[in-house]
Amino acid sequence: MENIGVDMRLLVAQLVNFVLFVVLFKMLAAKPFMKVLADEKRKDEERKKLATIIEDQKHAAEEAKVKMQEEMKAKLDESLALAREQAEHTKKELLAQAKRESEELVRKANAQIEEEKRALEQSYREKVVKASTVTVEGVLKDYLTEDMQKKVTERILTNLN
Amino acid sequence: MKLDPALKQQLKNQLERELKEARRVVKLTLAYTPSEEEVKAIMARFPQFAGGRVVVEKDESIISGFIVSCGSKVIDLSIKSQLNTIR
Repeated sequence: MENIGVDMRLLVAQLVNFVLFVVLFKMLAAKPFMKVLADEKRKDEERKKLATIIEDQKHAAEEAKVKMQEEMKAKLDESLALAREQAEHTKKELLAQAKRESEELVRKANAQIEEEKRALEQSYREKVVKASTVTVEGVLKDYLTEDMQKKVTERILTNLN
Repeated sequence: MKLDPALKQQLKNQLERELKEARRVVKLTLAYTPSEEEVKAIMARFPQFAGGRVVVEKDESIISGFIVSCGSKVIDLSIKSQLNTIR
């Protein structure tokens, strides 16, 4: 053993030293040390549990957020659809009203045209009659001699019977 | 204004006389100058104007026929009135 550089006395002393250390350690420091280790282990487990809880809560919050976003989107879509429907309805009503008003205007315009046409025809007729009677008056004045007038008078008297 | 009753009566009498006189005048309007026989023949057809004084008037504007009037009564048998009726 001395050939390989190992001192037996030193080795034994080291071994005794080690045993003494183990015994002393076991007697004095093992318990608190183990307690510290156990505490650390427990704390570590608690930290892990807490981390899991936080993670779960985080997931739940994320899910709630996604759900709320989806709900809001659904409500927004619904509102948009309703607004679109109302706008469409209002548009149809306005178009119908415009159509009614334009038809009424056309009807009134046609009635007015007809009325003016009738008035014009009446006026034309009156002018024609007036012109004709004036012409006849003129012709009769020039054409009727005194003898003819006497004959007209006789005819009137005969018809009076 | 109060009138004297005698004056009022006189005015009333005068008005009645004039009205009576106007009623008695019969106006005959023709487009030519008729003879006496023609006037008599015409007036014979209107006994309601008998007894009145006939005044003959020539008016070429009536064209032909005649108009008999006495006071407010007018009988218009002229061609002109017939043409006006057509108008």
